[in-house]
Amino acid sequence: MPEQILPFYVVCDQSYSMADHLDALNDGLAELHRAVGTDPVVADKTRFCLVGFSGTAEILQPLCRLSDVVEIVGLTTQAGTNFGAAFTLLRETIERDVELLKSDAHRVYRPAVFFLSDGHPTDPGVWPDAYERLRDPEWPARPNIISFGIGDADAATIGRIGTFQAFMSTGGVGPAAALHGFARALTTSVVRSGGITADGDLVLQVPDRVAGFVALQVDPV
Amino acid sequence: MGGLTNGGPVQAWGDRGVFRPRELGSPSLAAGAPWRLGGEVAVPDTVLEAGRVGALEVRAASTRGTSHRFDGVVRQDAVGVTELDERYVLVAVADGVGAAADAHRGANLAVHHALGYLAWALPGTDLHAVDLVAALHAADRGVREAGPAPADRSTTLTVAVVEAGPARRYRIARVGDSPAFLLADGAFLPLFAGWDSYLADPGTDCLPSPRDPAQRAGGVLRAGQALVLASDGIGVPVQDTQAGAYLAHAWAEPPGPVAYLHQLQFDLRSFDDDRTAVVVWGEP
Repeated sequence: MPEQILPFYVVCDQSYSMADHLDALNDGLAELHRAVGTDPVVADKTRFCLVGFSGTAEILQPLCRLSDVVEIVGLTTQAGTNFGAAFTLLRETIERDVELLKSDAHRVYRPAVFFLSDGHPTDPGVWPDAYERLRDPEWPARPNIISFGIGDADAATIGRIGTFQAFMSTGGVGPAAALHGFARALTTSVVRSGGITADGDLVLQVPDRVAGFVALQVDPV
Repeated sequence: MGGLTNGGPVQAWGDRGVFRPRELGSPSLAAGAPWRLGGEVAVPDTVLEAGRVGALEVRAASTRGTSHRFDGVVRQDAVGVTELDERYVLVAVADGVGAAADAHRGANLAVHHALGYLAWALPGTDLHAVDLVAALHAADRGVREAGPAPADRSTTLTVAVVEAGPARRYRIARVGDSPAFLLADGAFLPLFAGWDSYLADPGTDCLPSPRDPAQRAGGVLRAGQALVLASDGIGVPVQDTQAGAYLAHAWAEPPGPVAYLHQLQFDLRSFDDDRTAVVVWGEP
């Protein structure tokens, strides 16, 4: 049965430097799971995938309907902060997921990525190339990326990764509570008729403020 | 609240029995949730219109999608149908751009001004000569000049004129992506080419101040055929899902007005946009 599907990828840094924030993030993911599972408008149209990365990247929860999942796998700290591995895995995963959904005759909306990190990559010479492949303008399934900087994050790096929004933590509040708001805003704005920019891109209606975060300037793609 | 029917499971909020929306696939969660009121007295959840004009049967409805019903947001589609001297049926469908703050107002203004123009222009001329694009321009002006921040009233607009006499010619013009079809031999034939994009793209041209020139179509409604103007809340599922076969079968002949509204309420998970369709049948 064809459906209209908006795929979300939540990508969490689980390197040692994130240790102080992982409990809050895990609680936040559980809250996101509960909130989305009981929000019919979002639950009907979205699929979620959870990716964790440190020295390597792994899919902790393959793309699924959140209301079908009993419990989300928790994040655990490991060595390394390899952004390149995360971006490479994302590109492969999104490419495969979108193809699979389309082969089932679904209408797929542009995927969205929530990227959460303290923004201190251990592969500074490598990740920019992997990132460019993820936002390659020639790739039709390139995602919209919203980045969140947590803890002692590097604002320049976080601002560079978000393709249309980026936020820096001001301390205290975890970002996961904001994710439901974003999931909801994106779900409603991508599915209804939308205005277009002069370049023909869809105007997305998403929150420009997030409690506990400040918005960063984002370079247009 | 839910209750028991024939010993079955607790039912979701909403219509039961013969009025229950037809499930065309996996049931949606949103369809079973209680509605919230839309907050605009002038724009109710649903409008329904029906009539016979000469050799034409007309059904029209515009109804909130499950997402707006769940969220308590006003319907952003608008529809208008009217007859002119028993010679013509005038049709307008507008799909307010979801991101715009006053999309519902833009949609209603567009329909009102376009039909007003045609009702003024047609009596002095005929279908062949009337300028449908001028009707779109009148709507564009009406939407733009209705107050500050015209972009907040962004909307698509499709207008059509159908002859009620034996010739049954029709002409259509539109700004934006709201589709039109000829329902013939059990299939919906699109009258405008769609975009074949890799991902679903809800972006559309719109009033006021559209980017692209208006698109036009026209032809003759043969016996047993129907002309369909819709918002993409109906047009997309008709083209991409089993809703196409369902509605083609349901509309093989003109249904009663209430049956027509029920047919538009089919439940298909994730297709939760406002739904608007006008169908004009030529008498067999």
